[in-house]
Amino acid sequence: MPPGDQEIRDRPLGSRAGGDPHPQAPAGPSRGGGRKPYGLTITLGAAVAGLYAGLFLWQDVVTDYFTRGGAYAVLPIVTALAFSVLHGAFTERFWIVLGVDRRGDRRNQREPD
Amino acid sequence: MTAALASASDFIELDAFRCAYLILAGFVGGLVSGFIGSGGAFVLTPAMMGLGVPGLVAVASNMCHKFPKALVGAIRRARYGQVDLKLGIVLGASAQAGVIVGARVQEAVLAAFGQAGSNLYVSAAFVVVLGVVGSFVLLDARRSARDGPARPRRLTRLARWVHSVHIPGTMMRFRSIHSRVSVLFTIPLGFATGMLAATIAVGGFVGVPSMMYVLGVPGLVASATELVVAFIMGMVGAFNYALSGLVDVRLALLILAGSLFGIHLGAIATTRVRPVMIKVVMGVVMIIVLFSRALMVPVYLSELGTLGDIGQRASQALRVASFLVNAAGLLAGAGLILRAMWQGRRPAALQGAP
Repeated sequence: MPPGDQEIRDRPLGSRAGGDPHPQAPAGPSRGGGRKPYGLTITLGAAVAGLYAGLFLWQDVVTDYFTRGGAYAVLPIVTALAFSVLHGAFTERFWIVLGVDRRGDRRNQREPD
Repeated sequence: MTAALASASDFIELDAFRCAYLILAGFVGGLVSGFIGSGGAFVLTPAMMGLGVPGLVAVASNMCHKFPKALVGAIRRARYGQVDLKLGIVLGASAQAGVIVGARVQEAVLAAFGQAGSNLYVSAAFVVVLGVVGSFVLLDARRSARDGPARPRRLTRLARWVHSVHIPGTMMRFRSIHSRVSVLFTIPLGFATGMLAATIAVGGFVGVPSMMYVLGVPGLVASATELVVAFIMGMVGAFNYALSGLVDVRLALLILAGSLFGIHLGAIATTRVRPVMIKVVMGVVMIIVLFSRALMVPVYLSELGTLGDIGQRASQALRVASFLVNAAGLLAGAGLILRAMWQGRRPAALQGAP
């Protein structure tokens, strides 16, 4: 199945007309030039640390309930989602604080692959 | 179902070393996942089993970390405008059917040929799928790199044909394709992704290339949309395992702790490197994992009695070599991403990037 020879031009997602209506719209909690969210990152980090500490302090109780099956099956699912929301928010800001953030607006870039 | 219920006493003790090991493995898996849309499961499950976790608990716990990780990655990449949510949901729904059929096939193979036969089936699927798809992805990456960033993306002949087919009542428009496509094409692709996920735990190895080459979705969007598919498949799969009490949530959350750092970095990387790197990383990881599974084929053939007895020591050596090559595949992927990010940090380096 060799690649064919028809060329196409990618339009950014999120636009029917092919142009991004908000090309400069910020897409994250903080962009490179602004103030870095130190306070929020520390707060979220402390909350995540608290959740993990609670999990391991009460690991016997947690694993007992979480492995009962049946209706208790929602417990690991909801817990994983809750951890991911909080921890995801923390890790996102963690990289921003370290200065590792997205570059440019990919939606406006033509992809040659 | 009740017989399969695990009890808390079946779960391993977690000391500091094991915790650090799981967090680190999660980080590397998350980094690759955030970048190419899949990956990690093929190393994380064996990594957990290496700590003494029973196989089913390892698979279930891995599944339980996978869907929230995919959710976070999908949200992040949606902010970059890279996710086609509608396509992800359509593929994810049909992938569920593939997962069910794939699991039934696994059970049938296990019943007919035993554990060695089942392992051989999984390894053969790895070798065939990764050999074919991985080679094609790498060849295409080479072509894209040779053409350079100035040349517009090309559709494959297959994708052009898929776009040209009009079947009344089945047509659906997807933003990433810029065309109406019959769901009679997307359903088999989602189904194949689900079947592969149930067979080798990495459905994205078929899902991402099929979106790119069959539907004509750009690589960046395909890898991001695969995260939506992985979320849908992972959540349903994890819930099924949780019904049997097989999820060790401590393992899932420890891996998640590392992988969420990794998946954000992988998503950021997609904005800092040339898009062709998606194909390079995916192709390289696929080919290395292929070799890893190929190393195990003689072991399973020997256990089935087809190859004759290769001996305990040779068998053990092949198992260790297979795991190391597997881990090397994931590390190579992570290394390529970090290297590309490092090179892409300079504004001048991005002049060549689209």
